[in-house]
Amino acid sequence: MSHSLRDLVRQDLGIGLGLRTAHYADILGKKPKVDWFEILSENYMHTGGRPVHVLDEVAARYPVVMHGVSMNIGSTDPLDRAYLRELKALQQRCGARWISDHICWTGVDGKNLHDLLPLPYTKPALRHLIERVRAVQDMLEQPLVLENPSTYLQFTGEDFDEPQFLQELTAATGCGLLMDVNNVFVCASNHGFDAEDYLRRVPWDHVVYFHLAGHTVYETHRLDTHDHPVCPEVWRLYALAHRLSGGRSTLLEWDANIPDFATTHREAKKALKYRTAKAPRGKAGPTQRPAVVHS
Amino acid sequence: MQRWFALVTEHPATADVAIASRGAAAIVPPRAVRERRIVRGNARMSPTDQLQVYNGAYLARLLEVLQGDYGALQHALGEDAFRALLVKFLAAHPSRHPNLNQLGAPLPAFVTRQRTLPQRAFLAELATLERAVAEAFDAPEFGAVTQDEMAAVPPAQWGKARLRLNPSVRLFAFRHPVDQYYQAWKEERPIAVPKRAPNWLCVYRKDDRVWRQRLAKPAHAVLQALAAGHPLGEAIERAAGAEQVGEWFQGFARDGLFTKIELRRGRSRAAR
Repeated sequence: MSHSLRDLVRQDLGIGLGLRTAHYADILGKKPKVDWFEILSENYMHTGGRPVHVLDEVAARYPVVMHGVSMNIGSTDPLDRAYLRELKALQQRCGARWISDHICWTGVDGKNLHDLLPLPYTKPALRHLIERVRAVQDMLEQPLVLENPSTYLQFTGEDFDEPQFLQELTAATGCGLLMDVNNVFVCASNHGFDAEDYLRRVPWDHVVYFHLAGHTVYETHRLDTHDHPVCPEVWRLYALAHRLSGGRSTLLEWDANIPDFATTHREAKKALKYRTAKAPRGKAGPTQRPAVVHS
Repeated sequence: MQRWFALVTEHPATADVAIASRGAAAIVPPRAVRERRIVRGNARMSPTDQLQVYNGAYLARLLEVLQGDYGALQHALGEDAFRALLVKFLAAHPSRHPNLNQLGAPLPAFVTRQRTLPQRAFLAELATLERAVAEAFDAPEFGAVTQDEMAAVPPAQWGKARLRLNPSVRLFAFRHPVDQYYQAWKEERPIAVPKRAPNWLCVYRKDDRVWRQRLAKPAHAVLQALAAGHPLGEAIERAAGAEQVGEWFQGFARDGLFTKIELRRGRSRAAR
């Protein structure tokens, strides 16, 4: 199970879907033609009943990847080694191609707030994150794949913008990235930066796969709710991201107000339209050399 | 800084109240927040507005999880009282587990301690039943004893045999008919809080579904004795000569309640 990052980046699994309880009956009964499924890791941990039996059946038929929300990689709490052991055991059970989580923290002092909370993009935070990503990768014996989060605030006095932070993190750890195109758009809108410029500065040689999702628009901000179809602006950004990356596995997330399986699958397959564009020659997109992180 | 952010996020009121609370203000003076020395804010949202996004999402998310796990309790209490109970519960029992399924585990005991709650004993038993259903769903995997394995036991050894119950089995002796209430709630039938009446229940998982089986008192006593590790012969004595004991036993076996038959004398290491 110890793939190199290069192996992961090269595996374009096609268009995948998040495996959700609402679709279990369709997936098990009709065995639809889906390229791959992403599971929410925590939904299959600490349970021995139906969820894991469904997972066994799905994993026997489709490629599976694991996506978690509780690694708490950015926290100042010690790493939860029991959680990491369980992640690894789950991967062994379902043969997941890789394990992903988020660039965030989810709790402190032993409490889990069950939210993807923002990290300040500062040099100390980066050093802390690098150290922990390395430790997790040592334990999992594989590159960890981390997602750019949706955020609703930025901290005062940050040293990096997000693309710079990603460049530094990936260069120092060799970790993979899950590029959530919807999150880029939501953050660009919330924080007033240029989403296309962001994408042009992503270290593409570390990007393993894409996420697409819908979000909710409020008067003052956009919220990453995964309860709508993908908006046209995000599809346009995805087209650019696809061109810059040269093509990566792509997954549609739909987590609330989930439509029937056929509708969800149709929405995901819209991505095909944007994947037909030819990849640019040579290396996919510019990757800036990161500045030295002072320890 | 994370400790401050957590205090602001998990506060049951709003971000501005949280920022001014004693705990948060001891880490970051509210003035520093207002002056944008911690969070930048933007033209549309002040730092407090931005923090409110996280504060509002925290309670909404966790309440949704608990409402999903304790729907019958919510029905019995009414929405406002249920929400007030949960806010108090979350302050006392914040999540400490990666899996949200564990969030509601301490709720039945918490309800028991709420001395001012009307119908507290009934509500605590109802919460206990709902928690048992969740626990049975998520219990570790097991293999049930098969008919062939049962048939292979020499008749003379049955009396000394110890039967281990599968890890999903939960046995209850309730003082209120909470299962009737729970079933009525599931069927969306109107039902009042029932009067006290002792009843016995087994909650278990079979074929990945959770079942609730109402038991006669002696049947409950047999299962309770088996769960405590007594040999079958002793367990059956608890049935006090009930004629249906053989029928019950076969039913338990058909429902996959047994996961292992121990035939050695005394307890084996595995049975401890």
